[in-house]
Amino acid sequence: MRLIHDNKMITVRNLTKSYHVGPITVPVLKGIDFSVEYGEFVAIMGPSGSGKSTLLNVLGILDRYDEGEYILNGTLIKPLSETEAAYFRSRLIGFVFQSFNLLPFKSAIDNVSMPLYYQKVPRRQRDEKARRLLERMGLADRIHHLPTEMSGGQRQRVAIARALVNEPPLILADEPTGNLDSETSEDVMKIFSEINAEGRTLVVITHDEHIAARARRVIRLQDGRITNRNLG
Amino acid sequence: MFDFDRWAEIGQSLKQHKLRTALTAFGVSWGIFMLILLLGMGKGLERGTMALYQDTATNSVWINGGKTSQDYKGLTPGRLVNLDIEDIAMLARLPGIDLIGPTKLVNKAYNMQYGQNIGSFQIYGIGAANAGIQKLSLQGGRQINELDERESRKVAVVGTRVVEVLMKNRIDPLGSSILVGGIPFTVIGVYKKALEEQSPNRVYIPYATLRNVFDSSPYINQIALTIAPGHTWASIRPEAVKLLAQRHRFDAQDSAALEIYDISAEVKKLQSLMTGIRLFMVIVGVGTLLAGCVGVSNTMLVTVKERTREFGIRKAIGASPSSILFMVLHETLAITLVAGYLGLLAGVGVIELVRGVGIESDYFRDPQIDLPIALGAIAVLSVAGLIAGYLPARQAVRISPIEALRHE
Ligand SMILES: Nc1ncnc2c1ncn2[C@@H]1O[C@H](COP(=O)(O)OP(=O)(O)OP(=O)(O)O)[C@@H](O)[C@H]1O
Ligand SMILES: [Mg+2]
Repeated sequence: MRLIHDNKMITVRNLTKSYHVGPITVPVLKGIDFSVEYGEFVAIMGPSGSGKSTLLNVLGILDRYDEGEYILNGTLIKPLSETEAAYFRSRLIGFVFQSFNLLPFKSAIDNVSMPLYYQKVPRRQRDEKARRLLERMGLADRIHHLPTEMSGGQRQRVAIARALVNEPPLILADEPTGNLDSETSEDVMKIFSEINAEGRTLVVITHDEHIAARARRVIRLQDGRITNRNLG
Repeated sequence: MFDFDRWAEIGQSLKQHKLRTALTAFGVSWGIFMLILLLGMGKGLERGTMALYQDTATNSVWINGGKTSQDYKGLTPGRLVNLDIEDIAMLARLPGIDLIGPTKLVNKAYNMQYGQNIGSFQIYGIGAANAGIQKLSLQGGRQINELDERESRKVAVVGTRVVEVLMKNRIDPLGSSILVGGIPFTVIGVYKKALEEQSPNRVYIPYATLRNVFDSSPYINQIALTIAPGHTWASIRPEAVKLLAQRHRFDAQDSAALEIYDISAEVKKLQSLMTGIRLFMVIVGVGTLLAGCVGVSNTMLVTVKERTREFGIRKAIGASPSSILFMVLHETLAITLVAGYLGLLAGVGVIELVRGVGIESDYFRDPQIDLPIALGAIAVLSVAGLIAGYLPARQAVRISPIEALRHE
């Protein structure tokens, strides 16, 4: 771990990653270069299997990469102990998944406040903050509902509230509207725009050009490479 | 240590698998229950057996005259060895002998009388030293002492059965006079139990008094002695037997000439038997407990596997490896400790019940779990809980968040 002052939220240089399936090595990211400014809203697009999720997982420190450099908020991310990885995930990153990934046995408010639990924030403050976020997501009347008692759009809004609760500078979302109908998608993307307007950096994977249009910039991925050049 | 949130988390996750948690917990409860029960019952067995000797000095030796079985200087075998009061004085001089005293029975049955009530009881003459060798377990009053002995006082320690027959339990026997063969004796003590006696129906009087009043012959029935600290009967025995053999003219090698009963050897044998039984019980109990813990560990492994996705999510939102580790450990520990505590309560409850019912025999009485054993059981449990939790906890920590999130 090393501190580097490049004044960018994300800098990726010549990043590669392969999966090992038995004796076969499958290269998935074949030299990725790009950076994301603080406060930017970037969409990642590309055909299925092009490596979008793999890239986002690396950015979210959920997965390791092989070669190259990944600098997050001025810190070289490689190689990290699990404890350090947990620290950065907790302080810098909010993750939103296509399949929501809420804990089914916890109510909306308990799901949302969980990241603060791992930051050792006292219960009352946690609940207060989670409640405010849920209200902002228009879920004031669903605070004590279980995920199974909510619609897909509602669940995704709970998941977004959870990603926001520890106020991370960077939000990563992997097809956040992939499981939602177009109307709910629009609601969710509105929320993302708001979040970005607050100054948070946003990196969102999407298949929907309509949604990508909200982003300031689109990174197009194909077969493990970025296809649209000359990016900031 | 007391983290309310952690407990809330544990409650939540245990609630998801109520039946499984209960069944697993039962294994631990049963283990600790068996352990406690076995140890408690073992204690009862030990106490019952040791109670047989409770009034007898455990360093005492009892010598009775026997019948010779070998030729000795032209004397034929089959002669009775009659111990006498001179033997006491002789042995008393041996180094290593602490207390020594005679026991002499009155051969003739005398009537004992109090008011209109008459009974016939065996009279024993004993020395003052005997109180220290085999104390009569007294219901009231005192034992025969030096002064009684020296002044040949007409005092008696009588059994509760004697009091029952003569005084019909209506008056306080202490200080009252009973007639023994027409001679008044003052009751100074009442005893309630003696070794090898079904009901306490003897009358003990000072040896000196017995000789003065009932039987002036020097013969005695038994020598009782205790070994001084730092000595053993084994080291004293050859010399003691040699002296007795010379006086009574028998071969020192003739094992039938004397009947010698060494309590310390008996007690030692019993103690090692008890240690063996206790060890066996500990092994069985701990084994059962361990089986319970293996059950917990196994269940937790399955649970961790099932919760792979949950752990992945927790990690993705910032849970550190140590928080995951402690979460699983804490959960396992909670199951084992709560279940173990219940088992402990049940075990102690059953033991108290047995105690309350008062199941008691010559070899079993007063089963109990003492504090060190209970604390030990708790300690064993905590360790067992930690061991049971460690594997599953490691497993949970090793889960990679990305693998876990793919896991359906
Ligand atoms: N754990 C893995 N082991 C082996 N190969 C993998 C693994 N995960 C992904 N891959 C492969 O890596 C490639 C990129 O996968 P990735 O999930 O990043 O694609 P994607 O762009 O997100 O696709 P989609 O739009 O369908 O979500 C695919 O060919 C996939 O089969
Ligand atoms: Mg994908």
